[in-house]
Amino acid sequence: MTATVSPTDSPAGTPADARKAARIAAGRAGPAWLLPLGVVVLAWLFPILWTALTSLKPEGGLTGLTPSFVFTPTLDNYIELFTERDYGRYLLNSLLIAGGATLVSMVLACFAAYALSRSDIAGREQIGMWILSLRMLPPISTVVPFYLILSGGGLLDSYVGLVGVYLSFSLPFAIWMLQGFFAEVPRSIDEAAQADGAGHLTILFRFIVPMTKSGLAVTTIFTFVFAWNEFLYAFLLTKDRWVTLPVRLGSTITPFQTDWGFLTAGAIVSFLPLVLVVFLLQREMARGVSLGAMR
Amino acid sequence: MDEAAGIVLDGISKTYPGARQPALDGVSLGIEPGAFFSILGPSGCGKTTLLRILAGFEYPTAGRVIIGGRDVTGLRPRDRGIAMVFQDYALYPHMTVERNITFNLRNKGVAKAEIAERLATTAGILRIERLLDKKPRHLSGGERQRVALGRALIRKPRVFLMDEPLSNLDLKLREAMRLELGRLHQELGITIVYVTHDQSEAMTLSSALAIMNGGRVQQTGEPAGVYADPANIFVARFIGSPSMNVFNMGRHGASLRAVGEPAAVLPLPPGAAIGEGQEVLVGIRAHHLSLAAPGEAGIPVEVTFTEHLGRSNILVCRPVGDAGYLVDQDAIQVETDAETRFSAGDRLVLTARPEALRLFAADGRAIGAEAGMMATAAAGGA
Amino acid sequence: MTTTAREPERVPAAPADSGGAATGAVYRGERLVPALMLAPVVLLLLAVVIGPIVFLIDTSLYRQNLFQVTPPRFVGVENYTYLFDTSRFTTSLLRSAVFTGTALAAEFVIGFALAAWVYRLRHLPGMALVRTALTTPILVAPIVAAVMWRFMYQPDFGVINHLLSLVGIPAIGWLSNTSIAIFSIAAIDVWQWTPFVFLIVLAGMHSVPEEYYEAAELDGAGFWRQTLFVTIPLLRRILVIVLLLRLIDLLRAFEVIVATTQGGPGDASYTLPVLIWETAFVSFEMGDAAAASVVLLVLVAIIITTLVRVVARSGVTGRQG
Repeated sequence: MTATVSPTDSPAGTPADARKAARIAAGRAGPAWLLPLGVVVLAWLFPILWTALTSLKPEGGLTGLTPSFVFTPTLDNYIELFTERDYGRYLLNSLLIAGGATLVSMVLACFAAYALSRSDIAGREQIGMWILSLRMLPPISTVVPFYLILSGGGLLDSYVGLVGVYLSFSLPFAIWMLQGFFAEVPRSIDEAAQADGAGHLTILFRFIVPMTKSGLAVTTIFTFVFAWNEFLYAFLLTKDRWVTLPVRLGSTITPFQTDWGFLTAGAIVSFLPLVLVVFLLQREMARGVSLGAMR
Repeated sequence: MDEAAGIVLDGISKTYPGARQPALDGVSLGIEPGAFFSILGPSGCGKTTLLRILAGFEYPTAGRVIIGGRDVTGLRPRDRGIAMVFQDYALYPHMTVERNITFNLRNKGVAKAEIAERLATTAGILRIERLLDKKPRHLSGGERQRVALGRALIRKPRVFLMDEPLSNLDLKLREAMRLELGRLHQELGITIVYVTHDQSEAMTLSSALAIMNGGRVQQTGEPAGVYADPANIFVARFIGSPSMNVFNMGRHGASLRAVGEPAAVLPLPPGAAIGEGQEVLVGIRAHHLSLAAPGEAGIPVEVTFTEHLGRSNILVCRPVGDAGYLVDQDAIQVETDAETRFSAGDRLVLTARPEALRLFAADGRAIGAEAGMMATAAAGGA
Repeated sequence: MTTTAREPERVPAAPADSGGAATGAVYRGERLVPALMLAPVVLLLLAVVIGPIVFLIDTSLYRQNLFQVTPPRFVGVENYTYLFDTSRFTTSLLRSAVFTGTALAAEFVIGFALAAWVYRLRHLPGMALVRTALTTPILVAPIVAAVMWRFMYQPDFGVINHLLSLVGIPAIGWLSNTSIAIFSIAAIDVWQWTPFVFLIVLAGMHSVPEEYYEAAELDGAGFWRQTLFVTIPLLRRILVIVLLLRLIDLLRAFEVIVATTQGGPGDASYTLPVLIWETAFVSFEMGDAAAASVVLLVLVAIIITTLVRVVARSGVTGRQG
């Protein structure tokens, strides 16, 4: 595809030709490319769609069954999930743990991000970088000491223990994201507010926070998502009382006789709430994902 | 608190951590109550830093800030009785215009009735009554500017600080707002400290100004005085458009001469305190250059091109022969009235009245002109 | 009238009631507030992150089995020399490299191509929907993604082999074939995280002023040249950051392997995290596991340092004077 034609180069062109030329000149492709793109997107979503489909099959779990696309959907798997398998409890555990970690992280992160993005504290950039790097530590490395420490303090399978461990990744993440959003507010706003008699807390909660609402929403949701989806820590640091949904799902797999009907239904249960939230906030979400890496 | 206050800046220095050069180096200024005081200088000269120290957003490394006779160096911005108009206006985007303007009063717990009354007065002065319910993003540039002024005005501060408040406006609006600022200053009798890099704003608005460069005050005084008697070569060049011509010449008897073939000659100003043969920098504004009488010695030049400005013409000339006496410039600019027409290639001999010449020593300081000397001494005193 | 500095001595001192020095202290005290806001977070992070790391390094210097009554014995760097001598450590490094390299390359090529595609269609409706749709895999828990794909990879009734059989391709042991397994697992990560690369590169492309493309167009540069000489150089910083982020994530990838093959078949997908896992929670050799963990930490730390350099060099903040 050569794209060197400009509208003026095609004197004999019809209006349609001119439009096409203008489009090419602007580095754009035509609507004909929409269809293949749609196919790619659908293919990409296929694993999720297939999981959803399987969860609605009456006997999705039977090994040896040929995959089928046409069947009578039923909610049996979901009903059994919540009645006989007590998934409500795991769901609630996940909600409490991810919610708790998110709440604590967000409150602390507001203060820390304010200090990092809007003050002249010596070494604040180094501190910011240090916090950012903490978010990238491999959990498999830290889980051993966490395990030994928590078991030493009798905190295995405890709410405080797990939420505390979750702070090790959710707090740095929240600070990092918020700092980026806060930095977008011009400094002159702080100074105007300062001259208007506002102290640091007023500036933070009456100016910066209201001005970065969507950034806060995005950060809250992603902090929650990462805590909600966490597996390794929860798997090793809980036994029974505080088992979370991913742990329960992960331990359903056995080399033999995996019950795929329940498993796929469980996967959808863990995933659907997040998708709903993201669809409600789709514009902010895409922005949040990219901002996270660009700052 | 609403009396206009004078300001004294006493030996203010500021060095940012890790910076090699101080941003401000012993700046001392006095500003009279009710003055419209401009701080003028090229970008990076420290004028914004100085304003921010005056406001209390930055803490000086050394020196004192005194407002209305009270040392406020250790006070928070809110306790200094100042209001500030920011370059980007810094309107609170999540609040309506009314809330923006009244935030300070509400924050201080002023009675509702009084807030309403002061809001009405302020909005009336600035003619923004119909904007009160809007959010800043729905306002035009000029309207935002007015709201920013309103937010400052309603507090009846003792000092207004303005950081390039007009630089975000387009040309027409800028001129209108300039008049408006002048009007406000006259009507309200307030003290305004105004930071700008635009000399026409500073010259037209101010009752007094300070020229800064490299973190130091170069000269203070009334605009006309600074223009007429620049304290040093930097000020001479910075103020006025086109820039002052500067030649390197030596005294030969009753004239100033640049060696070369043909020689460039200017008359010696009366009472100039320089010895025979001493080299000086000679400054002369474009409109002070005129044609020499036939046969009279002067500066022989050839016109390179002309610019027609409507009210006057600018001739851009190059010296005939050796151009070595030009200091940091490669052409001589001459301003003539609109009727005088020359064209490229014309050869002229230029001269000037001796009183119009300004002499500077090799280190850039003004020689001889008494007012300039005094101003230099005062400004460079720290 | 020249307005010059008054003699400072003649300035009246601050009234006693407001107390210049005292208020100065308040002012400076207020400047300390941000430090006070930051302090608890830094302390908390020191406790929940740095504490364990110190603990980890300490543990790695002892011989300690969780299920033996003998107390931990100090052995110095013996755990490390032992680790470096074992062939399974070398294997795990190799597997980690293959897994990381394959997935990383695929995620970048596909993510970049998708982004370029969507960018060229940006004036058409539905692009926001594409972005949102492609955000969803990121939201799936890695363990759940592994489970979903394991289901689809089933050799006999998995949907992938089923679809392949429709076009006459015989069944493939996606997770049981030693030469395929690690790539099958990498594909799961590619599925989940290519959208991340896509979203960021796309946002980056939108941040490039269109004039650059128009100028390149006038210079006669086609799509590929524009990509090579405009997009990639301008997005270099973002690309490097995303690259390093993905690199770290892939190096520490764990769930996706444990929930599919547990490192097998044989040692076909035995990466460094799997080795740590096995040493710690199958053999319960805490000292050895800690030593391997420290090795992984060092690897990640090297990458993080590079990342920090890249970010720092491009200047995070600027302050006007």
